[in-house]
Amino acid sequence: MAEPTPLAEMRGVWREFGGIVALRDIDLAVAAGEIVALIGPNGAGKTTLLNILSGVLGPTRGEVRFRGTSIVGSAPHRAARAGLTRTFQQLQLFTSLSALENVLVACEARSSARVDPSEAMGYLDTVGLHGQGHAHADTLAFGQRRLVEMGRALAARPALLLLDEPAAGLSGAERRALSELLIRIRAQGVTVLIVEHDLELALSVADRVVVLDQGVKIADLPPDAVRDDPGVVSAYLGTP
Amino acid sequence: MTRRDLILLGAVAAAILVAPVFASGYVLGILVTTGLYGIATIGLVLLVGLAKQVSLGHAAFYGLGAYVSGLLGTRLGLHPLVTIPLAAAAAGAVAYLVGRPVLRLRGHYLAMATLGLGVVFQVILNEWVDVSRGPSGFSGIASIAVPIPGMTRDGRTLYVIWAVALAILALSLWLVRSRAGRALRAIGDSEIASELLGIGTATWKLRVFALSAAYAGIAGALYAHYVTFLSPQPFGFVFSLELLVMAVVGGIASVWGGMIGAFTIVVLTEVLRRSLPSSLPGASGELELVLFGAALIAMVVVWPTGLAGIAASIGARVTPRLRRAIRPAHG
Repeated sequence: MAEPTPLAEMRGVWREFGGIVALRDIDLAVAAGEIVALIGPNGAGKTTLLNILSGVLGPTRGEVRFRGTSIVGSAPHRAARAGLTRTFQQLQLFTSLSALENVLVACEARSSARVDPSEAMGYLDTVGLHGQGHAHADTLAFGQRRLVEMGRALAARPALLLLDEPAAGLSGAERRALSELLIRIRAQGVTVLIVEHDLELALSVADRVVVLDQGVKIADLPPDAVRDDPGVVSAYLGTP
Repeated sequence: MTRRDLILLGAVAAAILVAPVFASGYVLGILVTTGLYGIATIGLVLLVGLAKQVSLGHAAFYGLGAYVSGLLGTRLGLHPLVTIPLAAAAAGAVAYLVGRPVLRLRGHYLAMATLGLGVVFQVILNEWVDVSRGPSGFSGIASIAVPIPGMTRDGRTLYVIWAVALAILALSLWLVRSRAGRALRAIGDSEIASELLGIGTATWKLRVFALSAAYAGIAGALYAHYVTFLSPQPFGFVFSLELLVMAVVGGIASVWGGMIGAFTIVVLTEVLRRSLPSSLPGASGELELVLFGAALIAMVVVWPTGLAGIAASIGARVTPRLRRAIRPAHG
């Protein structure tokens, strides 16, 4: 039986910045419905990979497809309209808008019909920001701002959601809420690719873990095999 | 549009309506110029304040509107009601053509492109003598003053220009709170995040740039029918800079700020023009430019939300006190 077409895939992707190779011959396929964690030391090329997969950055060589269509050279909003969205390690909130408006913009971007603000409010409730809608995005605490970005991404109703370090700067309680949220998101049929430094969080939610080191994919494993993989231990985890 | 906006629009309309009865010709001239510059400045507010794209060539769109309306009227005998919309369309179309390749890029390429456009526009006006009549210009443009017996021409022109200005104000106030306004502010805050939500940022930036140019085109066309004489001189870089200064001084993110900035700069320019020759003999027009530059820097550094921001923060402090004063606390 033929493998079903993956939701997103990279084939033979290289990315160079000047003389520096940030990604080296990466193959990656993400199937619909799974949560893939992307881990690796700082500078391994995780964010570059996310930038290329979301069409923000073009690959130097190689092919990137979303839903079977190449996204290389096309504006990122095209892939976004086809169901791909992301959050950012460096928050990219709409700071001149309220939290609610941040989410409303995302609802309005995917549909030309009139959007009821209560729909946008619903996404804020989902990420645990009940009653915070009218706060200006830049007046919220850092963790809450991350949640607004998450709510905004969910409001785009993505098929594939790329999360770049969603737990960075969150408190312990907020992290637990995040991991519960991720599982609920998956239950709704959203595929997730998550870059995360918090290994415990990443391993607890992921179906599969991809490990990058110096721009090279060194492992692609189920989460329970990650801690025992000698390559991953020497490149990223270190010996206890 | 909020209730406060509606009340303010009504107040401004009432003030304009009675102005010809009380104000001198000199004051009416200031109000007319405020209306004209205000229309163009509000266009900049939408472009710069919402989408964070800078135009350094808005004088060219203003001039283009003036020349299109003036030439179509004098050469083909078309009525201003026909030529003014055509002037707006022409300015919008040129903006669309200039913006299309440039606005696909992220960054400040529009500022450079419009700076170039301003230079090219001046060259065309001066050199394409058969059409533009060159540096000496042309006169005989139809006036747009409404016929009201017993009122001066300034007063009658004031009504027409402010009818348009109020319509533009209302349209823009509605626009910033609409879905389009939200999308534009989102793009201004983060183009990448907007794209990743499926917003075609290049298209939106192009739309607001064309709209902003069309506003300038309308203002220019009205100007042509106000002064009834045109030459290339007023539509140079200095005027583009002046429009930007008006937008920043008024409050770059506020539609009302556009009008407040226009009024402030028009009045300041008049004050300078009257007082400078006596206080600084020998000072020339360049000094005006230096002062505008200084005002721009001072405003950006000290009060980036402009006069509209200052007014809003005073309002926020005063309103609760007023409410308390009007409605004394119980028990």
